[in-house]
Amino acid sequence: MKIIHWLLLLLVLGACKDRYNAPVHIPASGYLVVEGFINVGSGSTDITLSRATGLDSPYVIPELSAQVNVESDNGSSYPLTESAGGHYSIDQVPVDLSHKYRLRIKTSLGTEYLSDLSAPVVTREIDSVSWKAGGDGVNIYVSTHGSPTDPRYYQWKFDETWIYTAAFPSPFIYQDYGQLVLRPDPFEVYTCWSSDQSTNIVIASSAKLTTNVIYSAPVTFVSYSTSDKLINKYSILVKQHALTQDWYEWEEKVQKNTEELGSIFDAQPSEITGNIHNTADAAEPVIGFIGCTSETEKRIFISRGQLPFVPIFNPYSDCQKLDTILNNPDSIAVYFGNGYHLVVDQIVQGGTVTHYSGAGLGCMDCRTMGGVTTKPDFWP
Amino acid sequence: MKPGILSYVLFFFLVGLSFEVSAQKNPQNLITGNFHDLTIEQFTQELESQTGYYFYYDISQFDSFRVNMYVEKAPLSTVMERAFSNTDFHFAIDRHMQVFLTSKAIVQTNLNANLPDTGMRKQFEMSYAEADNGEGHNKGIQKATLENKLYAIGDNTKNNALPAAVIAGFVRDAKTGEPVAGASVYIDHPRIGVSSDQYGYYAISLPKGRHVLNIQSIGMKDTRRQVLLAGDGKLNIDMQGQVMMLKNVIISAQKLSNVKGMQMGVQKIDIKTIKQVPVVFGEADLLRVVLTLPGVKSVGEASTGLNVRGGAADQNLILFNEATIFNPSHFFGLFSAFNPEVVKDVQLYKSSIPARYGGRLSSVLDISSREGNKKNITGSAGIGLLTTRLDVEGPLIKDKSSFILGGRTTYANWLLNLLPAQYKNSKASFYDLNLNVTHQFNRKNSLYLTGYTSGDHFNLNSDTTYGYNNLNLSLKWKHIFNDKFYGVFTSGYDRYQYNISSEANPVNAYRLMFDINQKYLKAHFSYILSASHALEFGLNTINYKLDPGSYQPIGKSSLVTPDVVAAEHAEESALYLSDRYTLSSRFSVEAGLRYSLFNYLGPQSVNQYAPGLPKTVDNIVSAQSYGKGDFIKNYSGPEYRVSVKYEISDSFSIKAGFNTQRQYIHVLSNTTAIAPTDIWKLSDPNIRPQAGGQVSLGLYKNFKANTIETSIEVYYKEIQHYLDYKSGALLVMNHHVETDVINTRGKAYGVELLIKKNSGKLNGWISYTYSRTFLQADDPTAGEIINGGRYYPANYDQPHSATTIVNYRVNHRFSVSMNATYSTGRPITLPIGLFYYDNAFRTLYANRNAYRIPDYFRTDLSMNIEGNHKVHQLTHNSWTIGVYNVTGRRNPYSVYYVSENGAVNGYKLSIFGSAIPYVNYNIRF
Repeated sequence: MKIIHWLLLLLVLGACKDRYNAPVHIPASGYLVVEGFINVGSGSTDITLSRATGLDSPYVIPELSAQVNVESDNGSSYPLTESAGGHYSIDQVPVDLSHKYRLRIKTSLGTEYLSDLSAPVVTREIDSVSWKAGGDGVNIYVSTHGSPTDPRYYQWKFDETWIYTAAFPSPFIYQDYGQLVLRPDPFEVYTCWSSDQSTNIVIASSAKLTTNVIYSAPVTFVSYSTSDKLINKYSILVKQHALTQDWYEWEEKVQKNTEELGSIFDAQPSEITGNIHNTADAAEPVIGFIGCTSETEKRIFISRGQLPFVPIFNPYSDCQKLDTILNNPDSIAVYFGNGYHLVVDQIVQGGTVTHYSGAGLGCMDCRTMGGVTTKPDFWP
Repeated sequence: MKPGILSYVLFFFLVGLSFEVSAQKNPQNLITGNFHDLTIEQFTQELESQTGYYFYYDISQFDSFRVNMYVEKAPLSTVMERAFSNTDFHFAIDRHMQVFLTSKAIVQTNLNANLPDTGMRKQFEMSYAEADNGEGHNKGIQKATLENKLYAIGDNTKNNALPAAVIAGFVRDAKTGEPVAGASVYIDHPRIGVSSDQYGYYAISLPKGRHVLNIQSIGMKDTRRQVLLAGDGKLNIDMQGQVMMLKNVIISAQKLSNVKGMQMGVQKIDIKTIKQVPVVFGEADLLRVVLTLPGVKSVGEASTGLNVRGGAADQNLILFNEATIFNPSHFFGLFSAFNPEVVKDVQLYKSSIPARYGGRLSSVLDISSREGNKKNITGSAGIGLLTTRLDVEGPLIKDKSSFILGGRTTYANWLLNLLPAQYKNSKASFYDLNLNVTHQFNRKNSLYLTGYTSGDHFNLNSDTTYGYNNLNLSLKWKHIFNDKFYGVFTSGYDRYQYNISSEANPVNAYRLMFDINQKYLKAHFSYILSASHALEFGLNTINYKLDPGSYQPIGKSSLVTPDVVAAEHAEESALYLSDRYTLSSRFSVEAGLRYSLFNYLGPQSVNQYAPGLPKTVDNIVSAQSYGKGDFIKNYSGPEYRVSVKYEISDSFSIKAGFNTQRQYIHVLSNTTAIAPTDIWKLSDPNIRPQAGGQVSLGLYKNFKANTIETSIEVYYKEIQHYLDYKSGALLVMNHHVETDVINTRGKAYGVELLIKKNSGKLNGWISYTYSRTFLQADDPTAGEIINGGRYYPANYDQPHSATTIVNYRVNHRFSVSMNATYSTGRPITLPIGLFYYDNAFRTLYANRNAYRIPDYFRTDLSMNIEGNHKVHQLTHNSWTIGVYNVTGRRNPYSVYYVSENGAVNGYKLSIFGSAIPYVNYNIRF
């Protein structure tokens, strides 16, 4: 039956896919990329400017020293201030919901770009963020609703945070040459919080429904077999934006073009032109869509005990074998002095410490896995 | 010499026998009677009963002989003289009251000159054992061949001054009684030939006098008939089939058809050839074999969509016994939806499309099914890796009516359950069912009933289920008015529907449905005006009803708003006339005119757009409503079909053609492959009909007694108003779909080379095609200019392609086949760069179809192993064993880039990325 499995897999699962890079070099277009939205709620408006790069050079090229303004159709203008990395922001744009707003960008070279005027939409609160175990992990869903006159198009972004611990606490700290002293808090680098942001476009619409309801729209999937997010306690903050129809359609186009290819019946990729234009040359492609919306959010926690399964992914599974180091300053200095190892424990024989057990920093210091030791404010 | 000797022996045996039988008869009776249209048997019986004389003759020599006369008290010799006046027949009366009826011709041409000039006892069928033709399998008893007999055709007692006369009749398989379509019927001097139509009917106009009529057809032994043509008359021809499946592999139809045939750019493949070509999973697949022909391409292995000479997949008219098949594929497009056991042959017209066909721009794929065996109940069954099938055929009324019923289904679902848990949700199943019933009322009236249905149902590991169905019914009546004139009247109903549903989220649970229905009526006539003019004319009409989309909630908790895109109605009619004019034995012209008319009918609400502005939602000025049956928009136009043939020699000809076509129904798709979810759209006030024209020129030369055919054809083609989609087009459930498509112009040109070896142990073909296809969208009022208004290559533009198909028959029970295919990779749109957005690098696209996927190359092998060939066993079985993609090359179907966890990764997707072995077991009973 093995061969049949294999044949059917080939047939049914779209056969085989191999990594491939087309052997062509296409020069970078350098098109302007504008990301963000005009926040018409309480919160800052953050705009990021960058330049499109070549297919073979995935590096962000920030657009620096531009002048960015939010403009109202009544003529008022609110400048954004630049911070590092092409970020431009303003704490609060005093928005009047009866007016339309747009973004004006003037690059350091003097080229001017303008987004189409956009009417503000107000985002309703999220009804619930829920989860359900399925497959090898947990599916996260969001539900919301609005009045019939509210926009029926939604986008969600999310921040994930999870707590994890290193393989062992580290009760000692290396001090001077060959000297180990007790660490004030042996759990100082043992517990960490790691976080991640959404990298996919998550959108849904109630346009085809009789009422403006989003019921259990899938937000993301958290695996227990390929990530450690569920190993202890996991939290997700879902942020909701109501969109206008043209904005939604633009996001959908980007999603289809960049995330949903690879099946037999792919729609062919298309050009994406947003609502931003070079004021002098309307034909110049500019990537991005600037709309006016507000943001609402909701956070949930999922702890290990709630799961119907035991998370099996453990990044520290290789940490069980410990090194043994003689308790003399030279050995200690060689092993622990380079900063790549930490002490797991003392080994005591006949009342004296004869050895120390140690392990690599990767097993001992949770920060090496990308987390921080500072407990986030929202963490219970 | 064998026939002669045998007849001689038979003769003496019979004559000796008859002396004793007839001696007691009583002589001297005069004959009285009114004989009307009597056969020789009826006539001699009458005479025997009245006179006591005994008659001897070979019945086969007299089968076209009829007696019409009135006699009163006439002596036998007078009666015989009158009966045989103006014929080649003779009689001799001996003193034993025996009458010998003969035809002089048989003696002169075939019997040994020393033999007596007399005939045979009538009750015995004269049987010539054929000389061993080297095939070695004809040693058993053969049905009589009638090649040496002279047929007197027509009544030369009528004073008819016309120099030519028409012979018409049916060509049939002597064993099963099924018609033989596409058989060549021709004489050599002067060179005049015709082919039998799908009912096996032929009509040929010849100068009066004596001719040798040659008859050739695929899978049949060549035969000939000697005729003495005095006037119009009938001649039915039974051909001997090839007993063994592998005995004689003939790749194409008529051996001379490529040189002699009027049409160019026509390819015909019979089912035997189709079954030999190795295909994936061993499922004999008609469309896959058509794809090996020069000028035919597809976008990839997952698509059976044909792109013929640079045409789009929706520009092919796929007819299955006159019924239009809208979706000819199964299983995501991996298989074609035609049961190989029911199909007889398939004919592809890619340049000279006869005037009787219309409605599509690129090609006509005419698939005819077999008629059931008229003599016995037989059948076959087959088991493959994914499908199983069963076919039964047989007579309903022996020699008059027959049926054939075939069905296929897959058991992939059952196998899918064996997959690991995470794939358990995938399901795929399909079936198809064919029923053909044929009834021959009499010589002049036959009725054909065809029913076809196919269905597919699948979901690919997701909660969305897809399904689609074809349903076709047709009833055809063929009436022969006279030997020169016949008509075929067809009426039928075609339906295609698909649905998509998802119930995973109860609030959003929906079902989306689409269907297209057409009712049609066709009247086709063929009339032989004279030896040099053969006319075809007729009338078609199709009534369309199309439901472009219906979006409905499923279940009580679904909040989906029901949405229906208004149904479309239209009527497409056409009148046509064509004349095949034979100017000389070498030079002939076929000219046809088809005039088509399309009426877009109400009820409908049609958006009016501001003139001169792009068709966008913002530019909708108003919506005009029309009532039921209103003529909303009429399109009409002539279509010209001209082809010219000049034979430079018997084995070398040159042909040229000019064709124009119009198409009123379009597929809207933004996927590369034909997807089961593509929608069809009728032309309306906002979507113009497609129009196309093609000029082509071809040279055809045969070598080695016509066993090797070669041809070269060049063509240039233009297409107007082909619909391409706008970037990010929404095509499903779109109430104003004209805003999402753009009119494009297309041009295609190419050259096709073909070398075929038709017979012998080693046979097959090699084809090479160079072709280009470009589209252009440069109208600023269309709303979008693609690639700056320059010509861009179409998805299926594959400049070079070459195919080799080789069959080698090791012996009668074992043969091997190989298929090798190469083509340039198809165009794709590659990202021109990256941008960072929403915490991920994403791809940026421009320049539609500016790059290509890697080239395609594949080799397949298969072996056919037949069981023993004893004719009189209960079942015959055979095995097909093969490997698809022997080299295991991972031919890319597509190349794509996708954002995953923030980074862009490039992939190459291969449908069959390794060698795939298969086994099929077939049984015939």
